Amino acid sequence: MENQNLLQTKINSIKSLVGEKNELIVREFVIGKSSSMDAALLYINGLTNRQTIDSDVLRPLMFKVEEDLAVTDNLEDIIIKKYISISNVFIEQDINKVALNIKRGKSVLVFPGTAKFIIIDTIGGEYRGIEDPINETSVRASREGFVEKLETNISLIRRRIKDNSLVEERLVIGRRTSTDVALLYIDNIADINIVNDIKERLNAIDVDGFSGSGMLEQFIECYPYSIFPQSFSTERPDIVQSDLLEGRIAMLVDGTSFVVTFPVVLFEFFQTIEDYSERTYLGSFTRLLRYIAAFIVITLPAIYVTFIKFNPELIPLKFLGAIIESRKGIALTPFMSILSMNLIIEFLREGGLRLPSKIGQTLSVVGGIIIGDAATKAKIVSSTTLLIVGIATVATFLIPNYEMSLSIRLISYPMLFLGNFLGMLGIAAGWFFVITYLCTLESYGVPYFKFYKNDLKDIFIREPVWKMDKRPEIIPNVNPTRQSNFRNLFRRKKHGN
Amino acid sequence: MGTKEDNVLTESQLMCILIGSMTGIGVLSLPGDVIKISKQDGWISVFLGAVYPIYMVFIANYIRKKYPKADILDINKKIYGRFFGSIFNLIFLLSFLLAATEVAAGINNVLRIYMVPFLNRWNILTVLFLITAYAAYGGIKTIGRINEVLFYGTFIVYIIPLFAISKGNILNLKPIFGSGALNIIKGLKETVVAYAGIEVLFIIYPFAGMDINIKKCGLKSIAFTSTIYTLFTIVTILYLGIDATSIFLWPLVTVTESIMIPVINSFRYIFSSLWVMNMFRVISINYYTFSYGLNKFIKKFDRKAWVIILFPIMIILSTLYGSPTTRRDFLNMIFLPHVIYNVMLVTITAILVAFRKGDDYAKKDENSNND
Repeated sequence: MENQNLLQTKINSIKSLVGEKNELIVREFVIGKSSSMDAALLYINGLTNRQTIDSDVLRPLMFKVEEDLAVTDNLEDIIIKKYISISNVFIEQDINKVALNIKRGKSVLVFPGTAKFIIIDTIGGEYRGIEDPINETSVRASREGFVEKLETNISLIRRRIKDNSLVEERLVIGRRTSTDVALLYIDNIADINIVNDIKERLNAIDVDGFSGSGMLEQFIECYPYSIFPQSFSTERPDIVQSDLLEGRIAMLVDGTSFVVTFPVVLFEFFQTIEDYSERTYLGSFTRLLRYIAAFIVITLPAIYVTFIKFNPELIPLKFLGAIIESRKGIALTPFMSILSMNLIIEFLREGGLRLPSKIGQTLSVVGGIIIGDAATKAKIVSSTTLLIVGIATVATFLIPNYEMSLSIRLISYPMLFLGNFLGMLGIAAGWFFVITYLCTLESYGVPYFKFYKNDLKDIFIREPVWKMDKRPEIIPNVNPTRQSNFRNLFRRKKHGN
Repeated sequence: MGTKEDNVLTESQLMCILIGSMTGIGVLSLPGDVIKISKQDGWISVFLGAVYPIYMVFIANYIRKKYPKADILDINKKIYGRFFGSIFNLIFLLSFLLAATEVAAGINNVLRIYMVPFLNRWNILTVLFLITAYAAYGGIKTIGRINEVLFYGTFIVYIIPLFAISKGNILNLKPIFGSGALNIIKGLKETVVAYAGIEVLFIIYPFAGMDINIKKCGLKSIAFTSTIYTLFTIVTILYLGIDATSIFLWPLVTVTESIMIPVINSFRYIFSSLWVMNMFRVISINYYTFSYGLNKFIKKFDRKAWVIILFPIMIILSTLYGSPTTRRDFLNMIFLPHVIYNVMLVTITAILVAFRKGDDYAKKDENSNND
């Protein structure tokens, strides 16, 4: 009877720590066939794998125990070693940690006589399986994508990097959500100052909760008002792998399939994983195309407006005729028509984003073809304007990172205004401002936009991969050598014989 | 990350800042000024003008050896005392104010003729100083990075005028040395001014790490600048000839007009927009240096506050230069004495520094450097 009371008090204290409103399942039972030792198993429904609990915890403890455990000193040890057939089991004394573990889907064995608790990993519940990362598809690269489960995501990275120095640090953030966050970095590559800086910032966070890595990085970033993304988020384990090997730090958040890496530099947003698996020339060519595309997105509409409005003498005569022909009878100024067409494109883009793919097709037909055609026929815009807007929109899609492509699109609006009101001076001033702005940005002490001579191998072009002997200089690291120049060996062999 | 504030400039950044500081607006008008005096041998004067920056680099290098962590403003205060030092510094600093405003006034003139005739000068100058103030506000790190990026990013502006070489006539350049040694020396008066801007080295060298050899850096940038200047002058003489050159206000822009590429009707447009970006960079260097120096002069306002205070002053001063010709007359009058003042100031300072060997201040500095 006394034991029963003791057990109840313990259960009640755990209950109050987990929260009275939580649906805590308390399964009381008696250990062993012959003895009369009370025990209780506590877990939260839905977070656990009930089949494991039934077959690997309750059944052995209730039916397989022949000895009288009431007389032993180290009850927990014996139970763990002899009767629980689950791999991840440990003893915990701190009742607060017990409550935290229960909330994460683990089960707790409570005994009346001791101050110790046995914590059993019975985490279960349904999760999405590993699939193609649909936002970042590739032609020739791995097709695995991160999922919402933290453990799975870490395992995806650990499978790729088997280095002993791959460090994993766990944090719990959010007063109410208690979200698990893991920082991954390679100990003898990454700069420890940046790691500490990020950890300090993460530890300082005091919020109720957050909905994913995108929100979490906004809590800690250095330039919260920057237009440019302050961290690189990806769903691809192969990208995280190469980032870790370059000395970056990855942040994984439970419940998000997007892994964030720090520190971030501008050029990262123009690199894709395929650049490295393609032929060198092809990779370099696509790289260059992307930078040209970014330039076109920002400048082309503005230059067009400037030419039409202020400097028609610069348009070759043959074009000029065609432009005048197409602009006949159009009420809107070039500036207004470009602005309105750009806005319609934004509507289509943002609208199409959340539509089911089948309706999305209808939207693109209605939006792209019908509206475009109707707009020219209704004399709202000229066909040349439409062409310019179309080119700028298509160029947007070349920028591999969605956040960066939106940022760049956003810059094109102020540039359009500058071009309209200040002409070419406005465009030059706008570009100078963008460059200056990029030069002032830093990401955890690392310049966002700075050229190092050695890094040029992998910025505008992609040199042969075997030539990239050093890690990028822009990311501080303690071990700059990535590989030795092993191809020299081939050459020597050839000429030696 | 662990970057000390005094270690912020890399070697290439320092080089790009020096090149940017030297190649001001002067280059567009330079050929015209010098050709009036030295005729077809103008390019020799331009080339010889480089003695001024070379001398300055050597002096800067010497002073830096003695006082690695102090710029010339601090040293002047130590040597001449607070009062005289401050006055000398202020006159020294005025060259940066002058450079920033005269370049702005110059761009204003060029832009209103070649690019944006529909804007008035207040619009142009406000835009101009707004963005350069933003760059200056960012500090030396930002200035260094912009200069590096823009130097390489707009490198083509240094090449565009050279294309006109194919349309030149070699006879325009002959007879070499025909104008006589005296005229070549007289031409130096014009060309030395074109290299003004090297003085910035005396203020920014403490920002460069001790592993950076500023002598090498300075000489490289001078080599680049003098080559570009000489080539531009030669191209202008080849293409326009000496008589036509002296008619144009900006002969070099006329040279770029000669380059025709299908679709792009005139290269002038691309040249001037890229050139404008380069001028932004020049103004921001001078703007930064002046606000940085003023902060040492009046400590009450910090550097960033000075950037904001100077903003309207810069705009108003830039409007006072008037028409291109009055501006040029004024500059011809004021720049040469200023160059002479600068040479004398740094020379005397260097001599005094040499005599103050083992002085407490230097010792302290050396110690801190050894740490």
